[in-house]
Amino acid sequence: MLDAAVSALAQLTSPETFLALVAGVVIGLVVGVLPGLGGTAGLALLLPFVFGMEPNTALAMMIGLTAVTTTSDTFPSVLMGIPGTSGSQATVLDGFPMSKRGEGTRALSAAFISSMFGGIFGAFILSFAVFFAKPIILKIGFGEQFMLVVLALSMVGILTGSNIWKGLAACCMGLMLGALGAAPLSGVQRATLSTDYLLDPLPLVIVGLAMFATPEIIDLLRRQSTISETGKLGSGWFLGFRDWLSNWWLSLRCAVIGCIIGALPGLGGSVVDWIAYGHALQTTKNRENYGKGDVRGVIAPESANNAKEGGALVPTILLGIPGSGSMAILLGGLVLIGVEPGTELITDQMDLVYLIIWSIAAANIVGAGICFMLSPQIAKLTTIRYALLAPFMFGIIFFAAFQATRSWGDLVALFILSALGVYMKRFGWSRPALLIGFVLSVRVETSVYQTVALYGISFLERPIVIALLVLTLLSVTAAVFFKQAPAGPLTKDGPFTNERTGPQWIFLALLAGAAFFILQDGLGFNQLTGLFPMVASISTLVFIVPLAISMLLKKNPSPLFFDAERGTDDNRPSAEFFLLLLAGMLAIAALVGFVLGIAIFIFLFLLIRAQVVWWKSALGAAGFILFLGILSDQLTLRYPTGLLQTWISLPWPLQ
Amino acid sequence: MMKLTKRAVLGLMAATMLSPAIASADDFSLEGKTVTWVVGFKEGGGTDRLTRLLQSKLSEHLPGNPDVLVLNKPGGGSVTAANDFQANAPADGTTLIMASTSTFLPVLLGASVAKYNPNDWEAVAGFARGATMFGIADQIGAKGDGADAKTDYEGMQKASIRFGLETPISAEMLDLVAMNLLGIDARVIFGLSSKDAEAAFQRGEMNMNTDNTRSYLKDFGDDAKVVPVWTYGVIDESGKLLRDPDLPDVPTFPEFFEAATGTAPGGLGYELQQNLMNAKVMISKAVMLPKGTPENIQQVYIDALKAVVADPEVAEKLPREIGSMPVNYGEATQRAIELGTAMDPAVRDWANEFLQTNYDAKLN
Repeated sequence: MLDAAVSALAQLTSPETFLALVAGVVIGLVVGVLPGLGGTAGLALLLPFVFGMEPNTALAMMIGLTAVTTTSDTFPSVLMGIPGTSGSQATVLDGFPMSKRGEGTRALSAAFISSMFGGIFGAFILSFAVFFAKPIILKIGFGEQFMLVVLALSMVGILTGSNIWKGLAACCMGLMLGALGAAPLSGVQRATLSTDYLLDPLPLVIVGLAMFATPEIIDLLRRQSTISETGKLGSGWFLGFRDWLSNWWLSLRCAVIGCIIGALPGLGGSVVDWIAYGHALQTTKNRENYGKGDVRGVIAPESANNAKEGGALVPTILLGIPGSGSMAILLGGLVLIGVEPGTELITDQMDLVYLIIWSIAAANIVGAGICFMLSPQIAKLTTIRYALLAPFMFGIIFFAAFQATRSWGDLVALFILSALGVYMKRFGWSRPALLIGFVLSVRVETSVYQTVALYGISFLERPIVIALLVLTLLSVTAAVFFKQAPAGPLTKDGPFTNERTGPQWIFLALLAGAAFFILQDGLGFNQLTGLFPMVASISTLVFIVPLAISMLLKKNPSPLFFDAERGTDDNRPSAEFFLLLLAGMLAIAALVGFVLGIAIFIFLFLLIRAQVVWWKSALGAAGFILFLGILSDQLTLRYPTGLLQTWISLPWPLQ
Repeated sequence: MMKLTKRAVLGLMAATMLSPAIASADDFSLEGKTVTWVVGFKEGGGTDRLTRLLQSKLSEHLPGNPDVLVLNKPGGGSVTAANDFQANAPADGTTLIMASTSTFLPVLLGASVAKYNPNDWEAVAGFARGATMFGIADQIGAKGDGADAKTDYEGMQKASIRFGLETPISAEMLDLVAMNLLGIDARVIFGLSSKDAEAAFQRGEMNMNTDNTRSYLKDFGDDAKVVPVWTYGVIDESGKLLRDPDLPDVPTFPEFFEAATGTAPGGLGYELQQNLMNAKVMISKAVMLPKGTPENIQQVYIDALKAVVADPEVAEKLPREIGSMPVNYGEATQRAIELGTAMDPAVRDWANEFLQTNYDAKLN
């Protein structure tokens, strides 16, 4: 075993293999930075090259790539408030406020150290787990998976925001969104609104962007001139490192959580960051700054999401069953180069397994190192006038959304859900709660049914189930005792005012309407198809009834009410104005295609709104066209076309 | 530069080898063009992998050596891509699709979401991939491996069989129908993708499972506790059902049925089983050109695919993806598609009755 470890290290340090690893890392960092692209897109990019390569080299390259996408995804999450991959959604909650405070470098520094630590820890655990983890993984049956889902869902308790009913209803909204499209248990199309788009469930990346990216971009556009409120960067490298050092215990716990969730079946990788974030909230002291820029809110998810990859490799290598989305495609890549995961790999090709482990560790170090070197430059983005950045941000998030299924529907879905995100932010509805509900919805639906169908109630007698039940109870208890103070005074002229609540009532009515629609639709199906949407919609209604009643009865300012528009100066342009701009962009894109549509939008936005001279605006738009063109070439993309393209065929990159 | 020259030389070599075919193809050339190969799934899945394996050599064997791109267009289990292919793909040899069982099944079952008809398209090559039913021997009461089908059958009728699959109306409906015809009463759990079902089988929560033969052999070939009970075989050129070449000792489903019950399988239910078998096994993957593609272009692609499959590098890796069943081309593929996408109305009624009674589901 030691022989294998040493010989694998020798292989990795051979120039050819190491260069391949670094190349993989660089590609991984690039796709991690670009929202919507992740390990999946990166590996797809490598697949054509992998054919002709020597297996070891190809392996180092593929692992290098998968290991670091969750390192560089921190850049957009922290600096822009746009989740770089679905693994860093929770990082936005505290990382972005830190950037706004002018502490972008500090947040990045803490994040990269946490990522590196998490990644190496994951590799370390993997090196043991390949020997003993199989029986443990095989113990996680339907009942255990069900309880894991319940435990993850209980994290909502601590993320409800200042009103518990709103938080729980938001979570149920997430479940309802997850109930659109083909039912996982029967394949029957439900609530598709007669669109082809909803044959599949809504893509997570779109819901994530709509909840966080669009509302933040619009908010910033209205509020301030640069992301960093001070207009400065602040020196924070050392500070970030010290932050991590003084929170090493939290970082370690979250790395363990990441490994475990990555390795166990049942949850998938997308929810790891939220569980780590929730765990930090539940177990640390002085919690009033979470959500406003507490560095621990960055350390926790970042430690976990890199550790997850090592964990997810355990079932991938041991059982040939991928532990996450990027592992699924890595598995495909392994098969292509002739490596067949499974128990034989451990017995016959131990050096290959160690090559994987060393590669993860090395990739995390190289990746974090590159990020460190680049960040002072990249962090300067936060000191640029935001009106100059915003049109490109919109372009990037629509590009990101388009990666989900590569169809027009992605763009429309992003727009509609973005409107939901904007109003949830305005009226104080917890967007993390919605996201957790959404991420878990399919698992909730399937695991409840599978557990009951196979075991009835007897699954509660299984020891791991009981242990998870205890953890869930602890998590709920933590939530019950966690009182989040309302952000700001309860005054007649602040957001918590009980006056002019009309818009809040309209939002509530629309939500109730949506719930009734899902309920009505669910009633038309049999139990296998209709039960879940019915439960999700009825729960939504159950939670908004007490909210509505107390809103009716309350006669003074209260955390029940929230409207961010109250108590702010009214001169700034409304959020609706920017939503209309986005609708306009889609309308133009429908005429002239996605690429030209976005370019025209960028040009006009820079020219009129940011008052940039025409030729610089044109240059900006042309630059974005080039960016899209290069990506379409590298990733084999076809952007959505408009009316124009049905008449004439345009050359690259204008199609 | 190096690469280009090498490619040109190889292309030349290929051209010399295939010169008669190319001559008959009216000097059709794709020089300077880009061929787009649509895959209705995400990168990394089985269909994508097979496509990329073939893509790596396709350009060399096409006249004019065009660039060949794989375009992943996921959605609705390839239905979205197929709808788009039917409506928009140009019939000039620059666009082809890698269809799969998931593309054909909705047509066979008459799903309203499928707004395409693969029988309109022009088949280039079809890849059959064997499938087998297997179980944990001491739990399902069968010794499997074709040793004694009658005893196995009696054991299975007494055992408590648990079988996981995604949805009742899917490729695994084949297995449900097969068990139903035999009168084997299995506890069926839905919502499990093939990976989930395999994981549950490894945990022993499920004790029967289905998979393609190749994966079965890789995962459980050496595991004495896991035994194959029957395969779905392979249909030869004359339409005769043969045993799966990768599991030659294991009976096909009809062989198992006859040995177990004493009579050959028949009736509407068996017809449905055959329809589903064609869709699942015989046209597991198929390379197709759009409706109305001229015959000479079809022939160019058929020849190119034959050359790609014969390429030593591809030939070495191909069994990893599809097992060792022979690849079929052109007319033969078209015939398999015909069988795998059309259902007699009486069979359809039987299927609906079967789905309704057992799973409260129906075809639309």
